[in-house]
Amino acid sequence: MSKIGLDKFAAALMSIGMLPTPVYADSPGAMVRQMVMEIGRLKVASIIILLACLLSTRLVGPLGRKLILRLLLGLVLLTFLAVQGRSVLYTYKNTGRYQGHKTMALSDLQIVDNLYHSRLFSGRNVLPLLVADYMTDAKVFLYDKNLYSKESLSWSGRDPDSTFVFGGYRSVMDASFKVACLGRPHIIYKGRVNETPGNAPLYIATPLSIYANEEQVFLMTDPLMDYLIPGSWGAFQHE
Amino acid sequence: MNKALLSQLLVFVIGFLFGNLYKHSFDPTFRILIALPIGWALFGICATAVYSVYFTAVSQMVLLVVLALTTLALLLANIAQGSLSRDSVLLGGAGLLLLTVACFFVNQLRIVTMAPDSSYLARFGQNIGLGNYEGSRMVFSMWGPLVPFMHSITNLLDQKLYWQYQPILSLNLVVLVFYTLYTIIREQKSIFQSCLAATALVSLMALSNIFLFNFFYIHNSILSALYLFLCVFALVKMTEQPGTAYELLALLSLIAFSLLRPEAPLFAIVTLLVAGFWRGWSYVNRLKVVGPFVALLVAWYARLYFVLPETPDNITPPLVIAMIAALVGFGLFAVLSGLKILDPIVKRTPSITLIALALLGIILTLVKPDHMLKSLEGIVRNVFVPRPVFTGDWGLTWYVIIFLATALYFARRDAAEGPTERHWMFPVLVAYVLVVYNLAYFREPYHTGPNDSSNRLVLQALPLVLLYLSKVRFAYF
Repeated sequence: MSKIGLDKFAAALMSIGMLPTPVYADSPGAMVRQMVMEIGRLKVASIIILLACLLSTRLVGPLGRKLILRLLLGLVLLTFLAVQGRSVLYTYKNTGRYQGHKTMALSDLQIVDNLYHSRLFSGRNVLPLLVADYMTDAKVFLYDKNLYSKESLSWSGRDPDSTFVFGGYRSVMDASFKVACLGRPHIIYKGRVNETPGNAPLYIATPLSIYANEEQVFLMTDPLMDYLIPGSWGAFQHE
Repeated sequence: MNKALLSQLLVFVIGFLFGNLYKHSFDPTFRILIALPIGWALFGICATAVYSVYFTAVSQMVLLVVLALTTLALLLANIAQGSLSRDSVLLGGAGLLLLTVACFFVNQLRIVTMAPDSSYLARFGQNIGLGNYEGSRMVFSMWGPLVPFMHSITNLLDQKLYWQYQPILSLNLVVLVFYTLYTIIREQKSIFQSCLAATALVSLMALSNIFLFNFFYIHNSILSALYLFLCVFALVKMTEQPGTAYELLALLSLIAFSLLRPEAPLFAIVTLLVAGFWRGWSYVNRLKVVGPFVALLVAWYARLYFVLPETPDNITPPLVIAMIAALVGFGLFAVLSGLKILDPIVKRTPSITLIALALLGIILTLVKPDHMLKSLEGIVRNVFVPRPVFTGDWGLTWYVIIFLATALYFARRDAAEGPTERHWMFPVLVAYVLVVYNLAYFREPYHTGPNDSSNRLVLQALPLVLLYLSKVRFAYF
């Protein structure tokens, strides 16, 4: 009876800790195996040994107990320092997470360094970040009034009415100009376009500072994506 | 760099002048360590007041004037009170020098960790400084205003992104936690033992990929941890050293903490319901902390109701009303707690709070079992289960903390009973965990991953766990 009770209790505890397990492990034994697998056999064995050591301190006097506890604590802390140190070192060596960045601007960190893809600033919606960082004075020509909401244009930090101009230029990329653009240094920024219906990838010339010297910047399009073209590239015929 | 450094030095000066008014309560090292957090808290309160009243392109100038006047007022108060002695000036100078060195070091590293949230906090925050109301109000429906307000000064710094404050405050948190743990353990142990114990405890916090990620992460996690830690530490000290110093420190930390995350006021209320209603707290002391806290937060949320965009993010108008109701209800309860008739309830407030939170957790789980259990799974997995590529997990941190707590429990059995804080710090931690769990009901379930909210909320509580271990347990070992 007590065995069955313990099994049930263990199953309940396991199901709290390892919630998906009931889907594929319907007995306490299977749950324990699953938990051991996920946490790691070595870790589980260490936990059991440490608990046994802690319980054994009840069998010795206060001085012996203190000594055992101190030894255990030392052992655990040294193991912790070694394992965590290794983990941090691994992250440092194998990811770019703790590397210094050349340019500290949101648009560079997002588009060039590709650190993250934000929902609100993905695909062509990344435009407000670029305008904020690199188009502090330029007029930005957009081919459709409904591409961006007025609120999202105001995220650029500039006054939408005086910054953005709708239409008035030939916005469709022709084949030769497209080839020329793709031949220049660029990034095609997708971000999380799948989560934002109607959004499209954006061609962005690099380095991003190229836009800082422009008086006019044009958003152009083709069936595949949009292109953010510096006005000095001079391929526009104003309508 | 120069202007970013200057901004931090100015904030430090404000905080130091404030702390120096209570130099007899705060020891010199502690005064230096709390200067920056207090400075940013005062900055946040001033910015909240200015932008709540007047949100235009001129507001930034108004804020700078208000900060200058605050600095001047604090300086005059120091002079009038005779607090600005030669020692204090030297101490302040040393603090500024240390901060300058730290800033130069951080600036050389040029490390910043980012997530989508970082870009929203920074971009919309920068728009606040430009007086762009339409372009910034989205952020107020995402998080509290303090971090966006910090980014609002970016345009004054000749930078595209203000990132230096984050690692500096993270460093501040690590040193502050080390120092406070050291001083607590030092009361019963030798200098060497205290240093060793404090180093071991701080390494439990600092030596994990999650913490290191957040160290450089443009977000509110480390700041929340910092202010929550300062608040609870000040509440602990209030019972030991009665006086205005720790009351004000607790109040400022509580307000700053509540201006960071949308759900933070709930954590603040629960913390006060447990700690502030514990025996030993007088009615007047309680009102001194609860009154200003509730008044300022209600004013902010009332203003927020009208600021929210038409399509808000996390914080919606009904949630704002609910938060105001919770704050007003809590304030009223604190005011009425002096009535004799409520004595039986007031005396049991901490227990009632815990039981209510636990019951609420059970009810919410029964209402949305899949949702809540998935969240619980997310929390447990984030804390205990390593990922195949272990760049974003806690590693052994929580295992070692549990081992430490168990070992200290065994050691404690040989010792006499401890001080009274042991009785309320543990319930505060339990209440915190219950609130984290219950909050899952009102949002998407917590998921596994380094950027998940539950990970950030656990991170916030970690310094408190270390404080608890050092305060009530380490002395026995």
